[in-house]
Amino acid sequence: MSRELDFKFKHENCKRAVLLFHGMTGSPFEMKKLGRALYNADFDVYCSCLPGHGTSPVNIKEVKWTDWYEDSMTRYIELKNSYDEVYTGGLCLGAVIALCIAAKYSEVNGVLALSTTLYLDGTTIPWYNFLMPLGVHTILRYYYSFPEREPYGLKNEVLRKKIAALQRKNTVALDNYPMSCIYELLKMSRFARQNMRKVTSPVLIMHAREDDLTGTRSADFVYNHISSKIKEYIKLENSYHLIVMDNERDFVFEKSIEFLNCLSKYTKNLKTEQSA
Amino acid sequence: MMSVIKNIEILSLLMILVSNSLLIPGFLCGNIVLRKNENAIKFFAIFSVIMSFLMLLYIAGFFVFAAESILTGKFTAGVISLTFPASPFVIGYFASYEKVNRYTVIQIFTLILSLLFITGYIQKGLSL
Repeated sequence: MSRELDFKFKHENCKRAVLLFHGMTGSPFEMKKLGRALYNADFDVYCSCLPGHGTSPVNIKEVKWTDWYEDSMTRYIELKNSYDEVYTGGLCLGAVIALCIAAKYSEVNGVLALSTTLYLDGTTIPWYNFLMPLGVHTILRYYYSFPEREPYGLKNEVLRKKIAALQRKNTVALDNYPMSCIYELLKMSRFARQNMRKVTSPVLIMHAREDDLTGTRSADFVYNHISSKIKEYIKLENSYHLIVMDNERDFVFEKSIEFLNCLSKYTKNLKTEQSA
Repeated sequence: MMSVIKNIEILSLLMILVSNSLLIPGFLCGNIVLRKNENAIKFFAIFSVIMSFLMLLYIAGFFVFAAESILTGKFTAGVISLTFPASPFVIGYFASYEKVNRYTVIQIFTLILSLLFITGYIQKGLSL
């Protein structure tokens, strides 16, 4: 995989930016369509490969969740210094990261939490999942990789075949989840759950009811534990885990833009009132 | 009652012996394959599930053995045997990908120690 997968879509003199994060073992490729939609709605959009991603598949096994955390904080601070409004958003692990940033920085203007992964309890999690503590907390985590399997996070069969072919080549995403990576995700999820009450920024949560990797329990947890006054929770009926690529992606884009635009308008009105 | 306790002891010893004798070559084999072919995903998927089951058997065997030993007054054996089911998690806590070979060797070493402990216990029991 190449780091050329990073993208940034910028306008001249734009004062609002969205910082997007992709999912575990994925890449900015999966966020590109959402990125373009947000760009067309007059947002600057940034998305880079998370540490350990976008390079050799071996590197992902060496990465720690603190690497993801520190890298994302650095990226947020860079944008905060250049823009009046900064929103964070992500898919899967990316959503967890976006929420962690909001937990640390209350100035985050809004969060898009898409298919948030706090628990691994989706429909394709295998029956021997009860062995996960042995796999994750012992040396075995460096041996085991959970192979990506049908339906590859997509309900749309045409897209599924395309993505499965790309994954087999490890060009835009890996075709397996190394257990050591899952271990780091679970540690980061635990950290996020412990700090969820510190999130006061407005949050839009979108989650597929039939998510094959993580059930709605994760999204329910976010909704019930954030301290945000403005929060919206949408359950999707015709998608699996990769909601930014699946059947309802246009709806996801539309809702995200609507949410961010509302927040942006609110922020501008507030500033006008304060300066008057 | 005594025969029930004896049966439990024998069962736990069997669980430990069977799991131990498969875990040691399993880790040796896994370590060799890992060094030669990191991307053998299917092999490692099946390998890890089997090893996890064996580890479950190993841990359960030692817990049952420890409980039986403590209940029958063999406190030393009981307390020492509790260190063995804890060892995979202690090793896992400190392990990192960069040093996976080293920690696998340490894991194999603790498995051998536990095997020696159990065989020593059995020999002592037989000689009495």
